[in-house]
Amino acid sequence: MLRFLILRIVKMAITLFVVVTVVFFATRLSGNAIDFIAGEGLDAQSRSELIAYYGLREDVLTQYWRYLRGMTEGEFGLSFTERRPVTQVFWERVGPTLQLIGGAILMTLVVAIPAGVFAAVRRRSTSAQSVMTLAFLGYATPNFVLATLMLLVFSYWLQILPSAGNSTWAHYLMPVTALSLTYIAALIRYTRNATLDVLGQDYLRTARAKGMSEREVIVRHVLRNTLITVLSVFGLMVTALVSSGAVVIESIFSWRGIGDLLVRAAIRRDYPVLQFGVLAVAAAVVVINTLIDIAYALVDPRVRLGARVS
Amino acid sequence: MKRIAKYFFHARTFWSDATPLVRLAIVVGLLLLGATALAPWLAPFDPNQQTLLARLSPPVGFEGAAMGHWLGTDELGRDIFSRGLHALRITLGIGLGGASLGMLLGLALGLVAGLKGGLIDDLVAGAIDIQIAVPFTLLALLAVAIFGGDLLVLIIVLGIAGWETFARVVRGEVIKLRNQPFIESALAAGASPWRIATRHLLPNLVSPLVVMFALSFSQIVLLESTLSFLGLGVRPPTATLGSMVGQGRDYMPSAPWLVIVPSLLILLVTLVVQLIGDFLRDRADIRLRQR
Repeated sequence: MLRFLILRIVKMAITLFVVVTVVFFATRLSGNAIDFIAGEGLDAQSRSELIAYYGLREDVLTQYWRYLRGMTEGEFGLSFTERRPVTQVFWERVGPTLQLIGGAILMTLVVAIPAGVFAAVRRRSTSAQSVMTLAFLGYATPNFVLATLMLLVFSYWLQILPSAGNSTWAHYLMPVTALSLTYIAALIRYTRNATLDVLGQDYLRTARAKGMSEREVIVRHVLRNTLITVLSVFGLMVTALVSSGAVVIESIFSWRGIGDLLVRAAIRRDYPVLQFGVLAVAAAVVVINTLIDIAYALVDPRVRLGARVS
Repeated sequence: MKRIAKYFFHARTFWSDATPLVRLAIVVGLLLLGATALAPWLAPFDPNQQTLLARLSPPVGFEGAAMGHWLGTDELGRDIFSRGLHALRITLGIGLGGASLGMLLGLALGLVAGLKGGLIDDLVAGAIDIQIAVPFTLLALLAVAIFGGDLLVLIIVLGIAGWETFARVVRGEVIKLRNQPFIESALAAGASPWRIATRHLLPNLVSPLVVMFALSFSQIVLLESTLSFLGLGVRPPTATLGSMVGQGRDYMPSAPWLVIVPSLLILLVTLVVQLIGDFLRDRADIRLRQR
């Protein structure tokens, strides 16, 4: 276990180092960033002051070295557009994004797992088949299309839900639904398949033979073994949610979160913000993946950590 | 071994294995492809031609519809039907181009890593891990910020970002196949690595490659639509389906067709791709086929 953890941490560090390096040099490819933020018609003196202010005077390698040194002290530069430390700008946005993602995770689990198990156990019934059809449609619908159509129907036509902001619970309804739909649909399909695999196992016949009620069989044997398979898929979903799902939804519903911040930063070429954003999200993804591997090993005794590292 | 590839594409069983819904999807998909190929001839108007007198006119059948504009016009009086056709052309083109690029890159690296092993394999495997840590969407945001929304750049970026899935699966398959007797005997007969890769390994990789291609294609179409929707994709006035939805948002209360028409087109494309993709995946899954 210890060996596994150390290996994983070393691997995480290497990954993040490569990400920092590639992103740093990539953002320097397009020339001096000052020209984008300052615009034209800037006199030479203010231009050179701005360049000094953002620490862009030295050659790229010196800047890179300074960036790496700053990182160890928690310094990631100043935002071009807000003229404040990047970390400060970023930190304000973390809360709303976590709320949105948390809501989506909760909704996905609460809806998808019971629906998937149901669709497998009663697989020949009409209602189970309609669940699968809905899941198929949901999976094929891009979340920004769903979000836009929902806005059209609920905010403009029926006028029952607010279109932007996050002050009341009603504000959460559309963004969370639009964000979770793809994941709900995908998880229903996985849960159904996992449950079907479990339903064919011999130990269920044994459980029934010893007089267990059908309900108990489902909850104690089927559900528990299904969850092992579902867990690994769910981990992938969480990373997808963190990294990409929220970006579009936040922009559509004017949600002041990280996704919205990064889209604005990309439009305005606010490189320090983008750079930190990519690094932070990559770090989150790597950490989550490691946690999932550990959780997976804890839940399923058949997985031995040492064996999976190679 | 080549029989697997042959079975996969065998025209008669391909059609008879398909459910009616999948057949419909294949027909619609071919129609969409045909429509996009012929877009310049099919479209009744120039997609960027503005007719300010016929601004925001609704689709045919609604009150105040303008003559000849089947699906209405947008805020600059451009014909939505024509724009939709051309948008489909760009969207599908980016999808095909990007997925092909990712496949070539991933296939080459996966083959080399799987066959050579050693240091090269470690490097490729490490690169795969790193690529997984940097999500597709963020990479695209970054690239668009650095290079701007140039069509070619977009295709290259989306394609390169997709290499990882192909490389991972190809590498895994090659490692699995490498020790099989038929590869060993080919080696013993003095076959070159190139010959082994092209004549012995590639036919076994066809079905996973096709499935991944479908997956990657739909992923790229989705990502391109999303970026264009956010105003980060192909530059205006060139229409893509995502940018049509994105720009139409401002007119949602008064002219909902600006959003509804391209949204439905996107849905149609993703549904068709999804249906065909699922069908291909089931077909490639030997275990399932025997069930």
